[in-house]
Amino acid sequence: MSTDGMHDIVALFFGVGIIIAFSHERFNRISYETGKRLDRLVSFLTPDKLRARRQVTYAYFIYTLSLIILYLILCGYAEILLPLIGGQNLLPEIGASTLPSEASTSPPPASDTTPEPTTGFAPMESSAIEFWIANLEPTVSSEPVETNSGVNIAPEVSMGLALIMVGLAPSIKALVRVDEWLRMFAHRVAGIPTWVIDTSDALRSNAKVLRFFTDSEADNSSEYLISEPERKRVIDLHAKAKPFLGNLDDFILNIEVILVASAWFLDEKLRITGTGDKNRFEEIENELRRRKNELFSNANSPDLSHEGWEAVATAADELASDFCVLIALYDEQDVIHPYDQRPAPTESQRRARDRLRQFVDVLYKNKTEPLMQRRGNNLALFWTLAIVLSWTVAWAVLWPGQAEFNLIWDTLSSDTYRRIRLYSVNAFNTYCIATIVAITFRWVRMTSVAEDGQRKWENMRYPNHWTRWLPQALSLFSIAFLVSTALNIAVQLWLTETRTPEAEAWRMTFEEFIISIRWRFEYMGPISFRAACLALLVTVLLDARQRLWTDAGRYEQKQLKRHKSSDQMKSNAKTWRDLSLLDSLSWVAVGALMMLIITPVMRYLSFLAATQDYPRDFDHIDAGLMIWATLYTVVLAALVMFCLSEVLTRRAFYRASKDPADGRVLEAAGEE
Amino acid sequence: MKASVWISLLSLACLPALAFGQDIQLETAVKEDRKIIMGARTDVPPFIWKDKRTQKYRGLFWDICVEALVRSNRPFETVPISAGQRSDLLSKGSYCTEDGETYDTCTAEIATVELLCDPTTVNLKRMQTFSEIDNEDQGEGLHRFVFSPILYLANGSYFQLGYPRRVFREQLATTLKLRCTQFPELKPVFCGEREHPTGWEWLRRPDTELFAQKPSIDWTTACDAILEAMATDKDLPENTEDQERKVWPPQIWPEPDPVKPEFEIWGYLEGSTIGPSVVKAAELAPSSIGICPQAFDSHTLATEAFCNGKIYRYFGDVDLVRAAVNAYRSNNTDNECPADETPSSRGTYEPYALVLSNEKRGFAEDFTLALYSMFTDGTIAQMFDGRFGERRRSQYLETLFRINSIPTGEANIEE
Repeated sequence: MSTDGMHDIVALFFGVGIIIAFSHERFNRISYETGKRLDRLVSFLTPDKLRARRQVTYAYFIYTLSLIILYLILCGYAEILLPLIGGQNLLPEIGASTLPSEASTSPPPASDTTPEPTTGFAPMESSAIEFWIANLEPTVSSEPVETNSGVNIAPEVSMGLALIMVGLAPSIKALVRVDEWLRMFAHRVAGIPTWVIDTSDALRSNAKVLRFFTDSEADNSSEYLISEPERKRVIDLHAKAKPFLGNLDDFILNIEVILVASAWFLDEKLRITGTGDKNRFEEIENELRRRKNELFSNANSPDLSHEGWEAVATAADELASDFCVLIALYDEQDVIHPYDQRPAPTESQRRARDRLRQFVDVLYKNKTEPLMQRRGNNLALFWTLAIVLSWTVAWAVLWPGQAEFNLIWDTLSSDTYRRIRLYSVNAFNTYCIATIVAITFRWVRMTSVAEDGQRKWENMRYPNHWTRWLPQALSLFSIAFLVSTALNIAVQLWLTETRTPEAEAWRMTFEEFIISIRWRFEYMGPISFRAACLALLVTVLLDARQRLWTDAGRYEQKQLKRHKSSDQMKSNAKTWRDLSLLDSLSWVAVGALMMLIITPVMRYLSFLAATQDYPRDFDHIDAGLMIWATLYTVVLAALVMFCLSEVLTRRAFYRASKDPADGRVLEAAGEE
Repeated sequence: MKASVWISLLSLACLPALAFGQDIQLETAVKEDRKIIMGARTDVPPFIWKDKRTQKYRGLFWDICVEALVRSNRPFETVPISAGQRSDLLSKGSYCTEDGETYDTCTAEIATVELLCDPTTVNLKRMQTFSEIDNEDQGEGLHRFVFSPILYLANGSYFQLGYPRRVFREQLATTLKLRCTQFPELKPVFCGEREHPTGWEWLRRPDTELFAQKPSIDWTTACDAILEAMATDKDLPENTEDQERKVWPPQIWPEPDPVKPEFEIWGYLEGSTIGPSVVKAAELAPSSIGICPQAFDSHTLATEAFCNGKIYRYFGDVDLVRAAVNAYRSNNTDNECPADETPSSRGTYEPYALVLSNEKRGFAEDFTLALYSMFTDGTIAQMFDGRFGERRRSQYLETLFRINSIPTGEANIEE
C-alpha cells in the first residue's frame, strides 16, 4: 500500500501541476461570441490582453482554482462520476492486472478456506506458551491510530483526467462544456470582452477631440504631430469623396482618428510615458498598419466608383474603431499614462499629450468609474486568505491547536504535520472558499448593470432599502455557505468512505448515501455557517470602505471643480479622512462579537448532529471543544477584520493629489 | 542316588492329587480374581460419558475398554469416577468413594480400580508416580499402575470467545468498575481516577507526566480479587452518577484516561495436563496485560462460564472442549455460545492411554494384547470412524493408528 500510495500521490500532484501549467493557455481561449466588433482583432487579442493584469489575475485565479477543485473531485469520486460523464474507460479494469510469470517461481496460492478441522494432534511450530501469549498487548494504545495515508486514486485515473482536462487527450463532452462555462464565467468576472468594447465605444464618442482638419486654412495639425503630406492627404480625400459620400463628415473624422492614432502610436511620434509592455501589441499594431496602408491605396485609386467609396468608408469606420480598441487597451494596460506629470520635451509633444488626455478623459468620467472601484477585491481576497491560512497553521502548530486536536482524539501527542494538513484543508474549504465565493459574487454583481442603470450590487454598509440589501445578503450568504459545505462534505466523504476499494461508499444504496450526506451536512454545515458569516462581514467591510473612498474621491474632484457636493458625500469624505486605528478596532469588535455568539451555537448544533444516532449528554469535553472552537474563530475574525480594515484604509484607494493645481490628477496609492 | 529316585517317584505319584486340589482353589479364585473393576468417567464426551437419560456409558474409550475386556475374557464391574477421584487415583493409587470429600478427610471407603477407562494423558511424571506408589507401600489395596499403549493423540489447545478481546476486556473492566464498592481490592486497579478539578483549576494544563505512567499492578493479587469479584452472587451495583464529571468545569486539555489495566480470564479444567501450562503462560504474558487463569471442576462448569462470557479462553483437550461446547449449545438453545475455534487446530501433544493395574496377574498383558489386536484388525479405526465420522483424523493420529497396527506374526501371503 505504501508504495502504491506514494505513486497515487505523486500522480495526483503531477496532474494538478499539468492543470496549472495548461490553465493559462486554456484561460486565453476565447469564450465569447465576438460579434463583428472584435472579429477583426480576435486572432491578435488573447483574453488576457483585454483587461489589465490585476483583473485578469483574479479571473485566472478563480478559473484555475475551479479547475483544480473540479479535477480533485473527479479524481476522488472517479468510480461514481466518470461513468456518469462517459469516462469509464479511464477506470482501471476489474480483475487480474497481471498473469503469473512462472509456476515455479510464484508462491503457492494462499488458500482462502480454513483447513478442514481434524481430530487428533497437530503440532504447533512454536512453543505452546509463546503461541498463547502472542498478540496479547493492550488493545488501547496511547499512540494515535495511523490512518491510511494513501489516496487510493489510481495513477491512470489522475493522469488521464488531467490530460483530458487540458485537452491533450480525447476529450469528454461534459468536461468540455464545464470548462467552457467556467472560462466564460471567469472572463465575465474580468469583464472580457465587454469592457474593451464599452471603452472603445466611449473613446469613439469622444473622437472629435482629435479633429485637426478644418475647412478653413487654419492648420493645427502640428498639435497632433501630423505631417504636412498627411494633412494634404485628408484635404485631398475630402475633395475626392465629397461627390460620392453622404456622410462625408463621419468619413473624414474616421480618417483623422486613423491618422492621429497611427502617427502617435504606430509611428511612435508621441513619446508615451507608460510603463506597460507595448510589445505585447506588436502584432495588432502591424495588422492595423497594414490595413491603414491598404485603405489609403484603395482610396487613391484614380477611378473609384460610388460603391468603391462606400467600401472605403466602411473600411475607414472599422479601422477607426479598431484604433480606439487599441488605445483603450493601451490605457488599460498602462502603456499610456495620460495624467503623467513628467514634463514634455517640446511644446508640440506637450500639446499632443494634452490632446491625448482630453481624448481618454472620457474613460475617467465614465459612470463605471473604473479607477474608483477596481481596487479592493484582490487585496481583500489576498489578505483574507493569507490570514486564514497563517492563523490556521499557527493554531495547528502551537499549543491551542495541539490541545484541541489531542482533546478530540484523546491522545497526549499528535503529529504536527498531520494537524497542519487537516486544519489547513478544513480552513481552506470553509473560510477561504466562502470568502472567495463571496468576493467573486460581489464582483460579478458589481460589474453587471441592470436595466435601470443601477449596478446590481447594493452597497451593504450604506444600503438604500432593506428590500435591496436583504435578498442580496441572503443569496450571498447561502451561496458561500452551500459551496463551502459541499466541498467540506466531498472531502469528508472521500477521506472516510471512499479511499479503499472495500469502502462503504461504493456499496451504499441511494437512500443510505442520502442519509450519509444528510448526516454530514448536519455536522459540517455549522462549520461552514461560521465561514459564511465571516465572508458576509468581509463584503460589508469592503462595501463600507469602498463607499467611503469613492465618495471621498468624488468629493475632492467636485471641490476642485467648484461643484456642489451632497451632505452625504461630504460627511463620507470626512469620515474617510478621519479613519483611524479606532475604526479598525470597532470592526474587530464586531467580528469578534459575531463569532463569540455564533461559534458556540454552531458548535452545539454540530454536537447535536454528531450524537443523534447515539444520544448522550453534552459533557465537559464538548464544553472544552466549544471553548477552543470559539477562541479560534474569534481570533480569526478579529485578525481578518483588523488587517482588512487597515489595508483597505491605508492602501486601496485613489488619494487626492497633494498638488491642488491639477484636480484631475489621481494617484495610485496602493499596489495590487 | 536311591533316595533321590524315590523322592522323584513319590512326587510324580502325588502330582495328580496335588494338581486336583489346586484346581478347586483356582476355580473360585479365578472367578474372583478375573473380575475387573473398571473406573469410568461420566463427563468427558466424546471419549467416555454417561448418558443422563439412559444411564448408559457411551463414547470411543468406552467402546474400546469393553471390547478389550471382552477379548481378554475378563468380567468387569463399572464404577463412576469423577475428575477429582481420577486425580487421586493417579497420584495416590486409590480414591475416596464419596465424591464430595477430599482424599485426606475421606470418611467413606477408600477404593481403587483395575482399569481406568478415561482419556488420561501419558507423561513421565505420572509414570514416576506410579512406581513410587509401590515403593512406599502404603498398605492394602494399593495398586501399581501401568499405562496401556497410546490410543489417541489429542491437541491441547483452547477455544476463544467469538468476539474481539478488546470487547471482553472492556466488558470485564466495566463490570469490575461497578464492583469496586463491593470489593475494595479492585479499587486501585479499576477505580483509581483523578479528582475532578474545582474552581478555575480546569484552565491549568495538567502535568503530562501524570498520563505517561504505566499502571504498576500486582497482577497476581489483582487476579485473585478479580476472580473473587466475578464469582460473587451479589447484585451488580447501579452506576453511580456522582462519579461522572459535569459539564462545568469544562475540559480543555487532553487528559487521556490513564492506561487502564486490561485483564483476561482463561479457564481450564482442574487437574488437566494443560493446566500448569496455562498458569505458566499467564505468568509469562506481557507485563502490560493481566491473565487470570481460573480452574474449573468440570467441563460443564467451564463451558457454562465460557459460553456466558466469563472466561475468554477455554483451555483443554480440544476434542473435549468442542464436545462440551456443542453439548452446551444443544442444551441451551438461547445461547449460541459464540466461539472461535481456529486456535484449536494446533496444540500441544496430549497422548492418551488407559491406566491398568499391574497387580492382577496377567491382566495388563492380556488387555494390551487385546488392544493391539483391535488396532491390527481395524476395530479401533472403525470405532473411531463411528464416533468421529465427520472429522477426519489428523495426520499424526493416522500415523499412530498405523504404528499400533502391529503385524500378526502368522505366516502371511504378503510376507
